[in-house]
Amino acid sequence: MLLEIDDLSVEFPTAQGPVHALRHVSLTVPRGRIVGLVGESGSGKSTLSLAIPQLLAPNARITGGTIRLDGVELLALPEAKIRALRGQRIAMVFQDPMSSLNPVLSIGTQMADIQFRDAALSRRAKRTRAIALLVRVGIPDAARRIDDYAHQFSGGMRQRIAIAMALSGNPDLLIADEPTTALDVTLEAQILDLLRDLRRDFDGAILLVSHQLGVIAELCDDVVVLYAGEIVERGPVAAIFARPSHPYTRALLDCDPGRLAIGADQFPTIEGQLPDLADITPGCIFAPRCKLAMARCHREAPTPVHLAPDHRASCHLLGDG
Amino acid sequence: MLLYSARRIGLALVIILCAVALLFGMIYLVPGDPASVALGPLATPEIKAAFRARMGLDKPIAIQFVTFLSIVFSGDLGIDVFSNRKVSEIVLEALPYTIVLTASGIGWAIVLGIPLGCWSALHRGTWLDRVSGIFAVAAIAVPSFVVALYALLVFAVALNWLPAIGAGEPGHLGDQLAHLVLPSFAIGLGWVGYLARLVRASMLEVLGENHIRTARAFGLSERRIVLRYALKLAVLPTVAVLGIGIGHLLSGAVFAEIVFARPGAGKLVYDAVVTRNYPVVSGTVLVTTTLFALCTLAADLIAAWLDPRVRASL
Amino acid sequence: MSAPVFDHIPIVAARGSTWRRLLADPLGRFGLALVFAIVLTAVLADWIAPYNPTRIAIPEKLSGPSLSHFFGTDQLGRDVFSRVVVGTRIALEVALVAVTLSVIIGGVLGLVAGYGPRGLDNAIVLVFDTVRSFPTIMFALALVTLIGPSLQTVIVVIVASFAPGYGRLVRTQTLSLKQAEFVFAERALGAGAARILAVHILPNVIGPLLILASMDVPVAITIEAGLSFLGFGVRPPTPSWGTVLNDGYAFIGNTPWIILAGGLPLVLSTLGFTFLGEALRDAIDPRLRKDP
Repeated sequence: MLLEIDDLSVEFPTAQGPVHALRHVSLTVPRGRIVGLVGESGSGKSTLSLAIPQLLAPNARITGGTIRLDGVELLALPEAKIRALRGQRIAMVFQDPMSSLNPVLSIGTQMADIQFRDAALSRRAKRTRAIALLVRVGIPDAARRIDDYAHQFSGGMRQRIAIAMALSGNPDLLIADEPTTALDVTLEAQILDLLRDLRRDFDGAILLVSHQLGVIAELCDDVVVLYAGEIVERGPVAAIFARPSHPYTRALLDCDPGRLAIGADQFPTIEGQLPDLADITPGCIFAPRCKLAMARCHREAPTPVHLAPDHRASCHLLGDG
Repeated sequence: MLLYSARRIGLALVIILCAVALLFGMIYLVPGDPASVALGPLATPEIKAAFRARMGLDKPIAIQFVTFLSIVFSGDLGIDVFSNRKVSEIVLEALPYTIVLTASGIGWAIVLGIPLGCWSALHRGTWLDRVSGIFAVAAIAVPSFVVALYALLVFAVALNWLPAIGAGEPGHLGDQLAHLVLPSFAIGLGWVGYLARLVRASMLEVLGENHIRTARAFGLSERRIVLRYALKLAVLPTVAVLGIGIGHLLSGAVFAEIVFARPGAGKLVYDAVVTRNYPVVSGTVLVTTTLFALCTLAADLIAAWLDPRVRASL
Repeated sequence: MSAPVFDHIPIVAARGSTWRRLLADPLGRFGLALVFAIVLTAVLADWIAPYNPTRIAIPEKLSGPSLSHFFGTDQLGRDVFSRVVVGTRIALEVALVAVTLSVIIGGVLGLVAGYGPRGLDNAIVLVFDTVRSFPTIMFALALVTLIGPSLQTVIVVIVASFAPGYGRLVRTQTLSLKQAEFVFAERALGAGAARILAVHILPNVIGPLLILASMDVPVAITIEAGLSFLGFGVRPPTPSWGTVLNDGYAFIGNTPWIILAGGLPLVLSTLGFTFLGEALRDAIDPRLRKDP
């Protein structure tokens, strides 16, 4: 098991009291697999993905739980050791490639800079490596364009560059935080193709974070469903899509534009809003919005029920859990 | 970039022209005899008559203005009634002192202000940051001539550590530097505070940006990130601000020259006002205003050039 | 009155909470206390000053601090403390008059420039930029040369320094508000320029303008003191902090107390007004705080 997150809780202090962004979250990413983390905006997906390399904002507080990479407890490591992992064993691709690439340095400079650990390599060698990576991710005319700036590339190209940079250190875990959200559908398809293609050469694991089910379905082996800071269902992608068990998962699937019946005249939505994370009410976190909620759901928080060896959901409706 | 430069230069020229026009208006449209106004009460009737003839005071105003313009732009700023020397010569003699003083003030600001700002940003929230923040505001608030006077009182008169008067012996660099310390510090102090605040805010903003987060995500050390990535971006706004603040520095320089009895354009124009040496007054005001317009122009252009984002979008 | 529309204009929060935030800030408290003390001194100057500030007593000249003369006497035997106290009133009067004038002139011109025809706008902007392109000190010296040194000259200098900036601010706000939908609606209903300006535009621009102006009060005090120090401001024998500093400078070899006395209220007032201004700006709209 490459990555094991166990009972992780993260909160952000505010003037009105702490906001509990993540509560007792557990998930695992096996070596060589692609795990999808799905949830709507505000569910805590980014918090979870940033928590792993410990890139959360300075005011974030991890109030419990463990994050283990190959058995090593990351939360106990000193800053220098965590920094050694970043880019090397854990790499990240962010949502908006325009703002996550440095605007005033050329792409080549940035790609050379992140190879700073290879002190033995000459500047020229680093540049050659960078060009090779750019070619691999499909940047045309890479040898010349490596000296261009971020704003001179299109959105899709920029994301390819970001992926190239992430792979530059041969990481064991690639965390992609909404990599296609900022791109249109055609580009999205291209990036997903790229990621699938890279999978052949890249033997690490990928944690793919998205709010779009279509993206998850395309690429992932396993899916974890996150709602308002809690994991409500997890399992292999086929099982989740064939047999969604948690009411939230089912509602998400129903709302997926790709599943709209032809001739439908409305978009289905999930009524209501995310709960106030500063004021967590007892009971199931989804109960206020759940069409199938019973009295018990508002009183008592459900525990995970095993529907299959690796398919679990937390809902009272699934038998006594 | 080229288009922006052209527009900006055009604006500067228009401003200079308007400044000359304003000066012209002040002298010629004010009630009274323009010759007396321009030359001062000590000018003799002969000088006045010569002036009237040359300026064509009997011709229509527009022609007078054109005459005035052509004379001014040919570099002739008149003759000093007292010493009979060309005003342009006198001003150009005094100008280097003022430039050196102003530059030293900026130097203090850069050397003390930028590191203070960076350091505050990195230690944000600690009591050291709060103290330096208060110090920065105080440095900005207190008028520079009061700082000059107190510095004179404490370090020159009371403690006798540094000289009080003049610019030092020509050719003797150490002496000149010693004479420069107090006045340039007085001018620069306000700017130390200003730059510190600006750099701090700018640095905090840059450090919060997504591309800095990316750099961290690749394991680069905070020190490397600050020095190599954040600093250049954080310092960019200060260049534009320096341009605007040169006027402030100039005011400070004038007072500093007077307080420390240093030669320079400030002392020159002050003495000229007091002695009603009008040609010197108008000549100095014209030259300094033009220089000021050119400096702000240069600062704007440099700021635009430094940021590739601005460069590309222009 | 229409409610403020754009969120780059600080929304003046309910008076109560602004006041509370201001008092919660230690710098705000400090600034408020200083400003209060200064205003009080100015108002009660004639009662606080133990001597007539213009009373000459040559035999007592240049004496150091004593029980009868807190800051000693100057070269004409005048009580420095009294001069400084009465100078407080002069300083505040000049600053307030000048800033108010600047607000009115700059505000009106800005409104006209923003709302009026393009040609007029361009002309007014050109005037603003030209006046602003003069370094303040040079403008002041040129003005003194032409119309002579006096308090009026000082006020003109201050107005020339501030009004263009205010004018530009008001102009920018007016320009953007002019495009607002509710203005189009009003015009469709037949409202004239005067009504639109007075009822819709003015209330929205006045807030940021006043905030800006309040932060300029210490600058106005500084300009007056500086020009008086050079001998171009207040006419003797009226006392001003600047003239006290000038006397102190001339006699710096004899006694340091005059300079110390002249500079002290200047330092305190600029610090006080500046701290108060900063805290006030943060209290009115915490979103304007640069410190996230």
